[in-house]
Amino acid sequence: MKNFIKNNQSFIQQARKSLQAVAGLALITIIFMLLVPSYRSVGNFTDILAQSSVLAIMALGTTVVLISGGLDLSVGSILALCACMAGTVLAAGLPIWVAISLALITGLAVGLINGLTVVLTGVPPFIATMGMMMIVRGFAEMLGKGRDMSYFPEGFKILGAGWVAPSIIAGGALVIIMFIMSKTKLGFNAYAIGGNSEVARLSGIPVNRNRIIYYSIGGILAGLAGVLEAARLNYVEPNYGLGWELQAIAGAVIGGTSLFGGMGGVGRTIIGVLIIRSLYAGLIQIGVDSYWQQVAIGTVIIIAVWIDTVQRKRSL
Amino acid sequence: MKRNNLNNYFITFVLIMLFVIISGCQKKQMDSASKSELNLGQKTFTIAYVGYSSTNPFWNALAASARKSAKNLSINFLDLTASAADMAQQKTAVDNAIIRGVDGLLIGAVDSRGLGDSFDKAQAAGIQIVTVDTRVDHPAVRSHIATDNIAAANLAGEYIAERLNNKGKVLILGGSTGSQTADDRQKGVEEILHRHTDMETIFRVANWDAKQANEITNNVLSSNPDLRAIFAACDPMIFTAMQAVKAKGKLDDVVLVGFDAIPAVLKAIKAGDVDATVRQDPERMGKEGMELLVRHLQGEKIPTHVQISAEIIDKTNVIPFLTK
Repeated sequence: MKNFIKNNQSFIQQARKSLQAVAGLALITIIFMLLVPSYRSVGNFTDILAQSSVLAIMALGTTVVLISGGLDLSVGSILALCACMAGTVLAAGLPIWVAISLALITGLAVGLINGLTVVLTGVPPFIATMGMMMIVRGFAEMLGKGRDMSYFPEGFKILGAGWVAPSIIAGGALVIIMFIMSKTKLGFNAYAIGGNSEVARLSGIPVNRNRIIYYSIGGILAGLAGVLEAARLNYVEPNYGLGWELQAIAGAVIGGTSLFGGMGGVGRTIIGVLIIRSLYAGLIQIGVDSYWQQVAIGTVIIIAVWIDTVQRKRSL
Repeated sequence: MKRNNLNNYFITFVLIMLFVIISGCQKKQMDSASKSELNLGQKTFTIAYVGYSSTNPFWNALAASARKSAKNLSINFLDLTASAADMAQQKTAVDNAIIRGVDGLLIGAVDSRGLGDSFDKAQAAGIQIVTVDTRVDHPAVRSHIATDNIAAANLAGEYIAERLNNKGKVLILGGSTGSQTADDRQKGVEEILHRHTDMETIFRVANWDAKQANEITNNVLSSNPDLRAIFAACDPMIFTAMQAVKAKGKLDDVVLVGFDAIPAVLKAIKAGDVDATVRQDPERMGKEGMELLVRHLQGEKIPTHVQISAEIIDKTNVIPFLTK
């Protein structure tokens, strides 16, 4: 019982975490603004918003799964499969709503399979979703291989146009997930399950059923991310989303979500994602090569988790 | 008494089965032998093809052509190409082919540097190797057939220089480091552009990745608003780079040139979004690569290097290449 209460953070702790995340973002932003003239324009910030939108949507799902004590490494592949699904349907000349629906349903279905696999087989989520990552990538490649998926209809492209549409879509997803996590039993229970699943079960929470739902949410959000990516780039190839599951996890972790479950917040994840994409944008504008970008992101992740660990120890 | 009879029947049965099986096998051997006699005058060769990846349109065209050529020459064709462009997977495929035992290896290397060990093994096993598109420096390689990537990229460089009147800033989106192909294309464009003192190049590694190309282009455009042209080492990258340029409303100010002539970019050229691309001849590469290997296996002398030329496709000549 003690664990349960401790992991459900106090308001002050949560507020402090949020402030830290925002402070981190502000720090990076200020540094880049000082170093690079082109970082100072409004256009740059709207660009970053646009560039963050796809990852943000995916990271929302990752956060939900992480909070519940799970892990989903297959979301990058789900993005690709759903993007290929949308691309294939559009290339076949079918209506936009069919393309989007099929893509989202595919994401939901894969998420569902992930949840069922974890719950029914007892295989650790790391392994189960890693296997799915490869399986789903295989299907994405089969679907998209050699197919020309480009020049989508205007009505579809508008979803990804500029920074307004992607931000609205990402913002909408954020609001919905935030609502679920803070105002519904499904959300509360995620924290409980992630904090201590045995206690949660004993308290009457349908742990297994909920877990399946969380993975399904992760799946459908990855699907939405895939649709948005296709709309933004007007082009789909099967190797989209490679490695993105890790970036999504990084965003969640930098935003204060614990890899062990029970702690985290989707709003802060968005800040974490913005931090990552701001770093990329700034480094590219400075002229640094892509390898240093990876070094930078990795360093930031370690520092963020380190700060979090130190604080947690102190509050014991 | 009864037992003896049963035994007799059983032995007879087994002998008959053995006879049937053995004669069946012999028949097969005779069939394939006579077939080869018709075509090659000797045994049927087995050639393993290990391409760059099976999800890339260029490589799919090459593989299809190689397969067709193998069929015409009555070659036993094994396609061991991995779905992703992964050096480790490719090495595994090559090693498996060596263990299985093949006569020849037609290979499109993912990375010029990772196959030394496997090629040593192949050499020891007497397997003949022809490389396609990406050069691998190894004594076991009998011939290399490729687009001259440098010459092809020269065409792209010249196109850009001409369109820009030899003046301006050019972004070069590169492939993955370690790829000879990527290096050659970068070199080919740079050596043309660097001849002009009023031209400046910015080189960024984009790993053949469409998403990275989009992001890099976006941010380089922000920090270099005077950018006048972009060359991408592969077409998916130029397509998403084009999206970034379009989003900033600069499509009229930036010349876009890609490489590979994929359908999406050909559509873009027709629509006026992308200016040009370089078209290789994967069909010819697949066919001739296979033929080179077979001729060598038959004891003929073959050239160590075959260059296939490329061509620039732009709005003026794109129509015949568009597929419906």
